[in-house]
Amino acid sequence: MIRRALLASTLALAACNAEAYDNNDAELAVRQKAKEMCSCLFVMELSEQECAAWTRVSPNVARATIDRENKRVHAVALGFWAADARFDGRHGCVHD
Amino acid sequence: MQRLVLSCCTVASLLVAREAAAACPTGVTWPAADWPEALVRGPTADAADDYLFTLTGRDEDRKGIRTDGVVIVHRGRIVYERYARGYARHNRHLAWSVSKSFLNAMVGVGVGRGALTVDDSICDHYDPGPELCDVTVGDLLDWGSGIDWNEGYEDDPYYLSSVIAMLYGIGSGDMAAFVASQGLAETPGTVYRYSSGDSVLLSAVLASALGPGLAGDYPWEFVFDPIGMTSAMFERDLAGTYVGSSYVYATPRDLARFGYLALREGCWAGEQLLPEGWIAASTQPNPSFQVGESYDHFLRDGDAVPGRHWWLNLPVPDLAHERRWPAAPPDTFAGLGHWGQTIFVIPSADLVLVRTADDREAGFDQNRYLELALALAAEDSP
Repeated sequence: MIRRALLASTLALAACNAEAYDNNDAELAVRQKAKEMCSCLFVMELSEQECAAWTRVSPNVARATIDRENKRVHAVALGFWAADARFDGRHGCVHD
Repeated sequence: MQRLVLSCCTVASLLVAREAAAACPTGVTWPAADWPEALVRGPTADAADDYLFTLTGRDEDRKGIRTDGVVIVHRGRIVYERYARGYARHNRHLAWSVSKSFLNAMVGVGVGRGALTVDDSICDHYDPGPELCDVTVGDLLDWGSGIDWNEGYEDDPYYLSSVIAMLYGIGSGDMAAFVASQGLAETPGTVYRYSSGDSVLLSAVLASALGPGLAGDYPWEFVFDPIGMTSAMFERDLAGTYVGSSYVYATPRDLARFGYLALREGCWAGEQLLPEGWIAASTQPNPSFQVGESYDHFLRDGDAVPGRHWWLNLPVPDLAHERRWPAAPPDTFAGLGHWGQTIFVIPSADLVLVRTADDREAGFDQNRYLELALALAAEDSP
């Protein structure tokens, strides 16, 4: 819990210090996780374990929930940031 | 806007003679529903297995050579093919920036159909704001738009990376608009700076030039369907723009079809699919690659000499820089992508090499790979 709080503080600080683009690492991480996990599962058709390895980034704060029936991925980080991606046929995956 | 005059000596010293094809070649093998096979067995194939597919570290540590698939096509037949790490023949693989070479071909078909020309201002087709109206279609193909851009990936601070902001951050909804909003750092057409932003903006310009009737279908109508890339997928942003910098997916066998299209100078099954001379023109050093800041970007990125959304195996005498792949002939060109994705095309050896991978650290020796592929081709009996 302490580690998570420290990480959240660090990420929030990084967000405040962003010089070039108004993103923070947790927000980027959930969007990356949702989109790339969706593409890995439904476009590249690899296993969840393989896709977890393919989409791992640092900091590895995003966790994905997979809806195979609707071909969607929901990613969350630190209980606050969240993102979704969905499969769209030959156009692969796209953020919601 | 005044453009810099190219150094004739510099360009002349870089050029290789590659004659534009007068017509589509005859007497060559074309893949039908699938590739013909003529697998080469023996010590060289074994050496390729050993070099390309031996994990040198724990997979979870992402160390060493991490090849997912290799397909080598010689004289129109597959002479080597292997997969690993959970991948099989049917799995599509993300091409990452090899997608840019696909975009080159799609623009070529668009030019061939008269929808746009390389000399057009991008404002003839797309509204990026008045500051960018001196940027031409050719400038985008040359990664020479002058648009301010930081092509940093996961090893750089995320908040400074333009490409991460485009793909996952504030730019991801409408990537082309995000690119256009970055403004100019240099005079258009004067400085080479590798930029996924230029490629995405080019996708948007092409779609606008084609109009709504084709904007959604052109990758398939122009390239994927004619060459039988049935596995191909191409992802878009929420604005509907194809992410021409990064997001083509296909099986290695289908990626090899694209390499074979380039090898045959834009011909497929005897038909001229890309404009005559398009590949030849795209595989010359691009005009914005010249002394000064271009070379700074080139040296920092450590890549091959840039063509038009292709990479070239040429020396840079001004920098005493030898060919990027000395084992391969100077007519070699390549589509290169993040984490080791490559399509090499070697016209003088009638070879196409596709490698998909997950190389998270430098260490894979492309030169050794090319050496092995050329040796395999030499063993492939006529």
